[in-house]
Formats: sequence, C-alpha cells, structure tokens
Amino acid sequence: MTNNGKPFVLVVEDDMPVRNLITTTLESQKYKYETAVNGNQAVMAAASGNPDIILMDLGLPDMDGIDVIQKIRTWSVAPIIVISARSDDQDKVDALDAGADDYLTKPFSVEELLARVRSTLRRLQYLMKTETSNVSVFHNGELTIDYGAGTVAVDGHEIHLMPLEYSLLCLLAQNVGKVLTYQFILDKVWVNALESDMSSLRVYMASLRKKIEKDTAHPKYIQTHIGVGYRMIKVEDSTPSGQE
Amino acid sequence: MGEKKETEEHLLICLSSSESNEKVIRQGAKLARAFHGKFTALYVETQKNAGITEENRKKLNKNIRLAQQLGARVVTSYGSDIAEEIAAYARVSGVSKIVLGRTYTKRHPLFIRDSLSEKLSRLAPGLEIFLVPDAYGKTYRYKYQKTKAIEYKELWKDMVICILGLGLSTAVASLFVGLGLSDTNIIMVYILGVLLVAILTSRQIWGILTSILSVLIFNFFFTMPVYTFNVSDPAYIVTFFVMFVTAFTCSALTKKVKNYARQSARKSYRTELLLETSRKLQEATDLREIAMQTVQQLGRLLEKNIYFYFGKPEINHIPEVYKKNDNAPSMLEESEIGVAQWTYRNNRRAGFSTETLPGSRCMFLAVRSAESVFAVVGIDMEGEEIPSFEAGIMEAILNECAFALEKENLLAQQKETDLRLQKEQLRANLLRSISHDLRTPLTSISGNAENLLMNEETMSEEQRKKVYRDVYDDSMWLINLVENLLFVTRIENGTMELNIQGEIVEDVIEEAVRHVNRRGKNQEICVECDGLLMAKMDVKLMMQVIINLVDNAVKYTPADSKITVKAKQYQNKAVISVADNGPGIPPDQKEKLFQMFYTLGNTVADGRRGMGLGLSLCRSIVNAHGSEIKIYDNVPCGAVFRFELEVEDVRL
Repeated sequence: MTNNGKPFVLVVEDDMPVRNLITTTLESQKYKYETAVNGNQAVMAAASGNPDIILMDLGLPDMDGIDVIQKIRTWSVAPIIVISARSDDQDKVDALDAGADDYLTKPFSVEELLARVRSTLRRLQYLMKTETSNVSVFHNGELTIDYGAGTVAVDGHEIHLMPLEYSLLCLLAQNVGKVLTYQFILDKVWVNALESDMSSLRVYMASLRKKIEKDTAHPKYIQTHIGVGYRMIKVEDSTPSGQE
Repeated sequence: MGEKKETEEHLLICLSSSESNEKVIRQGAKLARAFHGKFTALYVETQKNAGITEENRKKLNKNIRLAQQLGARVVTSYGSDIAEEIAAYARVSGVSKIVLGRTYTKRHPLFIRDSLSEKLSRLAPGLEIFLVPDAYGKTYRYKYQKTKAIEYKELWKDMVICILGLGLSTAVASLFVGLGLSDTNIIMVYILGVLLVAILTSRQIWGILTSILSVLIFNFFFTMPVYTFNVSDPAYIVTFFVMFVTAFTCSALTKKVKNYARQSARKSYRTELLLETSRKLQEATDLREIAMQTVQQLGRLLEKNIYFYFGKPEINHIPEVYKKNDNAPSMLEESEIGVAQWTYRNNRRAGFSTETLPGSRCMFLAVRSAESVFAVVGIDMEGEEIPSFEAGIMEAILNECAFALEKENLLAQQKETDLRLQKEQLRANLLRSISHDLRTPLTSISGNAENLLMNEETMSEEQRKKVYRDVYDDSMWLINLVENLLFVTRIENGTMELNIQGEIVEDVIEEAVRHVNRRGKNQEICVECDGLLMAKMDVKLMMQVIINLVDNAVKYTPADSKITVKAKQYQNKAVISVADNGPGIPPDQKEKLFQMFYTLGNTVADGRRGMGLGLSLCRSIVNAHGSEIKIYDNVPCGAVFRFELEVEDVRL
C-alpha cells in the first residue's frame, strides 16, 4: 500500500452526483482516489494506476460491469466492491461469481460505504501478512482455526464441529473479507450439489454460527447477506463492523 | 307473398329419398350461389314417409348430407301434405324461389290430381318455381312407397278388432230389431261400428273393409228378405250406397284426424323437449353443467349412451356421460376417440350411420358456433340408426348447447375484461396517489436545501442539524416508498412470481430490522426467534413485509415504546409476529388499515404521512404465501400483527 498506509481507491461511476458523494466521503477519510466514468476508462485506470481497492458501479454506459471485472481479474487481485442499483440480487451474485469481493446496494449510506472500505482494507492487511508466513493456523479476533490439527477454538475453548461445518468455516476463513455466493460455497464444499442442498447450506451455516458466535443477533465473524451468500469478516480487536 | 321481408334471395329445395333428388339438390345449390342467396333444404315428414324402409332412409340421409355439404340449411317439418307444408314454410321464411324435380310433376295415370308444382303455384302464388329435369329422361312411374314390413301381430289385432266390431254392431242391431226400432237406427249402429274400427285399427284398409262388410251384413241380416243378398225394395240400393259412402267417409276422416292428432302430439313433444332443454341450459351456471344437461336431454331423447367432450377429444379425457344403464362404459376406446378427433378437426359428423368412418360404434357430432367447434358429442348407436324425427330434435338440442357454450365463453371474456379494467383503474389510482404523496417530502427536501443554500451562515448549529435531520428523514421515507412500489409493480403486472426457498427466519428478521429507519425515535426493537427455525418464503418479499410491519410500529408508537419481533414454531407452522405496546388500533380501523391508501386517522391533510401502501403490500405478499395477516390487541396495550409460514424441515 502506498501513500503512508492510506489506500488508493479507484472510483468507477458514471453518475456525477453519486461519484461526488463517494469521492467526498473518501476524502473525509483522507483516502487517495482516482475516478473513471465508464468501463474502458476503468480498465485503463486499473492497469496504469494499480489501485488498492476498486469501487465499481455495475450500470456503466459502455460495458457490462461483469466484463470489466473479468478483464481486471486477468492480471489483478485487487479487491473489487460493486455498487448495484437493482433490488434483485442476480447482478450482485453474477458480479461476485465473476470475481468481485463485496457489494453495496443503492441507495447506500456513507457509513456503509466506509465500513465496506475499512473491512476490505483489513482484509488486504491480513492477506499481506499471511502471504509471507506459512499459514497453518488462522487467527481472527478470538477465533482460531488450526488447519494442521483440524481443530477450532473460540476464546481458547475448543469447539466441536461437524465435518461439513468445519469445511464451511475453512472456506470462509480462506476467503476472509470476501462475500461468497451460495452457489460458490455449494460448489466448493458440497462439490456435487443438488437443488435441495441450498436449504441444507442455510441450516449448516446457522448451526455453525450458533457454535462460534457469542451473540447470534450481532454476529462477529460470519455475516449473512440475504439473497446473496455469506462472508467472514476480519475483525478489529474492538467493535465488529456488521452494518449492511 | 306480399312484400318481401328480406331483399336477398332465399332458395328452397325439397328433400326426399328418391334417386332424382340428388340432381335437384345440386341444381338448387348452383342457383343459390348464382343468386347469392340463402339456401334451405326442407324435408317434410308425413305419416306416410315416417315409416319408410331402411334403404330409403339411407338414401334420404345421404341426400340430407349432400345438401348440407353444398351449404344448405336443413329444416324438417311435419305435416300431412307436402305442398301445404312447403307453402307454409315459404311464407314464414321469406322463400323467394323453389327448385323442384320434374318427376314430381308426372301425373298419376288414374287419379286426376294436381302435380306438386301446380298445387304449390296455387298455394303460394308469389313463389318462383324452377323445374329440374330428370337426369335419365325415363318415364317416371310413381312407385308406391312401400311401407314397413307388415307386422303379423298387428295384423291379427286389427282383424280381431274388425270382426269384434262387426259382431258387436250386429248384436246391437239385432237388439234394436227386437225392440222394434227402424232401419235408420240399425244403419247408425253400423256406421258407429265402422267409426270405432277405424279409430282402433292402424291401417285405413280396415275401415274400408268394415264399411263394405257392414253394408253386406246389413243387407243379409236386416233387409227383406232376410238371410239373403237380395232386396225386396229397390230403394234399399240407394240406402246401401249412402250407408257405404257415409261409412267410408267416416273411416277416412277418422284416419285423418288420427294422423293430425299424432302429428300434433309429436310436434308438441318436440317443442316441449326443446323448451325444457333451452330452459335447463340457460339455468346452467358453468360449462360442466351445460355439458351435463345436454347429455341428459340427448340421452332421454335417444335412449342411448351419450359422451360429451370439451374441445379436442383426447384419450385420457374424461367426458361428461349419460348412461342408459349402469354398466355402460365411462370412457371410449382409442379407436372411437380417433373418430371423435376427426369430427373436431373437420367440423362434420362422423361414425356409425354417416359417410365418414361408418365402422365405429358411435356417431360423433360437433357442437359448433359460427366457425369453431366447442365440443364433440358421441352417441353409442348400438347398431341402430336414429329416426329422422329424433334426429331433428337432436340437432336442435345441439344447437341450444352451442348457444349456451358460446354464452359462457362470452361471460368469461367479459369477466376477464372487467378484471383487466379494474387493474388498470388500480394502477391509475396508484400513480395519482404516488404523485400526490411524493410532493410533500420533495417539497420539504428542496425547501430545506434551498434554505441552506441561502441562509446557512445565519442559522444556528441547532437549526442546521434539524434541517439535515429532516432532509435525511424525508429521503429515507422516499427510499422506503420506492422499495414498496417496486414490489407493488411486481404484483400489479398480474403475477407475483415467488421464489420460495427455505430460509433461516432469524437471519431474515435480523436483516430486516437493520433496514428499518428509526426516525430519530429510539424505541427498543427486540427480536425473539427460535434458533434453527427455517421457513419457506420468498426472502426478498418477506423481508419487505417485516420491514413494513416494524416501520409501521415505529411510526405509530411513541419514543419510549418497545417493539418485539417474534418467530416461534407451532406444530408445522412458523408463526411470526410484530408487537408493540403503543396506543393500539381501534377495532373499526383494523380491517381498513390494509386498504391501499388508508392511513390511521385518515384525513385529507397530508400531514399524517404514509401512503398506507406498506400494509396493503404486506397483506398481498403474505396472502401469496398462503397465509393471512391478522391484527390482535396486545396486553396491556398496543397492537400485534401476526402471520404464519410453512416450516421447512431442518435436516442436519
């Protein structure tokens, strides 16, 4: 990360007022940013500027947002947060499957936007740290996963998980900070998933959360994104950022 | 014929079972086409041809079908005299031209009788008559139409009646002689006898025979000298003659009267049956009932099994059935269905006794209106053809049925149109209300923004914060409205497509509550859910329901209230409720709340914001999930909104 630890954000949004809103917000947090108003500009800016985070509107005038994501993903693993105006979830799911990490739905509040950016930054830091070391143990706040031993502990107490629950947890942990779609999880954990396994997934996830979260009403580690999927968030040592 | 009722030509031909009728029909069709007029084929059923042989009936049916194929409307009429019937029909129906076969005009060698065409010209002077020459140019001999095979039982019965009649008359006559009454009385007795015999026997011959025998017996037994055929007084010859003529006339007249009575009876039976059919079909309330009544009437008329198929008959369709007796099959075999399908496709009758696929067991008729076929009726013929009298009524019943079906169709279309109109109206109302309701918050937002632009410096921190707060609240309100509207448009377009999946109820409620705008009030919102409760729902819609319900509670309760969202499992239902301890809802308002544009304290002033759209949408969504939102009073105060969802089994 450049600029004294402050991230460089690429903002792709064709609507001027919304763009101004975002850039103003970023400025208030002293983030550096660059703007692009359509898909082609976005790809060029991403290639030349090497941003840390990309905030992208899905409704771009010249290209399908999905295509932009796929293009960028061919050389970059920079986190992409998509902004969608539509109320149905299919475009978000498609974006996530194409390589995006998180999403925002218009109208979003400024708080939400900042929370997302912060959460993504934490993920980046975590990823950078663990790149160098051999990851056999996963730490996230009070949650610990020992891949080698195959055990999970919260606040020092070992938790007994069923095999599927363990696989789920590991998948989420390996993709910490990223929103994983239901289909993605099914494909990775269940492998040969049937239609009916969708509800099984929900059930397993719910029972997993019961086991590792102290307060299921305000989950600390695993967020549910209704209609889209799940995400494990990288916690600060203080408050969880669980706002939608 | 006086003034013509219609300006178009109307051509009539007469149908019969003779060979030459075919040519008449074809010529008639050609002429009708040339004149661009209506074409009717009339068959007059007299008592004589009611009893025609099988062979002749087949010929007649063939001719009838030919006429229909060539575009004639076939009408049956009943009467004793063909010419009279034709003339009557021509008068009533505005017939302008009639085509006859010239063979009708051949004179019978013995009787001085008007030919048919001459009779017609007399009865209907305004009618134009076209004579079609006989195709073969052969001399036509009037063939006596052989009547039905003589039934021996009938023969015996008539003979007995005749003998008894004569015997009785003679007995009474002897009595009279004994009493010393004059000849006149005896003659009267014999005439009475002849009358009775004529009434009671089935053929005219017996009446005539009895007349002759009466004279002879009278001569033999009661004239001087008795027991001989001689007469002493030549005046008796005259007496015999007069007696014979009287007796003969009586018998002939009786026969005629009997015929009229029979025809009358048949006509009235037909009329009654048709009236009843018409009434029953009109009273029928749906398509199935129409079919049922039709098969019943046909079954009663024809005394056969009847099968009614709506639309195209398929092998696994179950028809409406009239069963003559209980062991009749309820469905037809594949081969019969094939014939039925032919009828449906070609809009023509097929099957037994028709020209198409006559090897099948049933006859199939199309129930049609204008050009489309509504249904196909199958009659289990049991190897017998339908006599033309019944066939005429049968066709009339099928016509009635077609009318009734068409009427039902039209009604259904009407209902659909009405529904669509209603929807349009609702949409128009919606748009109007939206535009109206949008103005207030937009006025507030734009006004506040303007205020800030102009007077920011002169406003205190406090004032500015209030303005920001108001703008934020108004925008939030608008966002919620837009969300609801989007859902409403999904419904208004006819179908609400639900994407039902099993979802963890707790997750859904948590997410929904996060979306609720507190509006600066800080009510306590708490969630109580059974942990692993999973229910079947469309998650986006259900979330909106909970958002709306909680939002509603937030709106209408004071700042220190407590709002509780609960989800518990009772048996196989997930019961979800949103309760508050605010002022509650008065009983008369409970139902009205769900009306689309209603708000509590519904006054014209738009200060009390709220389109009332939210609750109406909730109800629609919950209804689409197969449940109902009910409102109860909370104890000690407040309101509870409750509904149920189907639980999805949790398999671990």
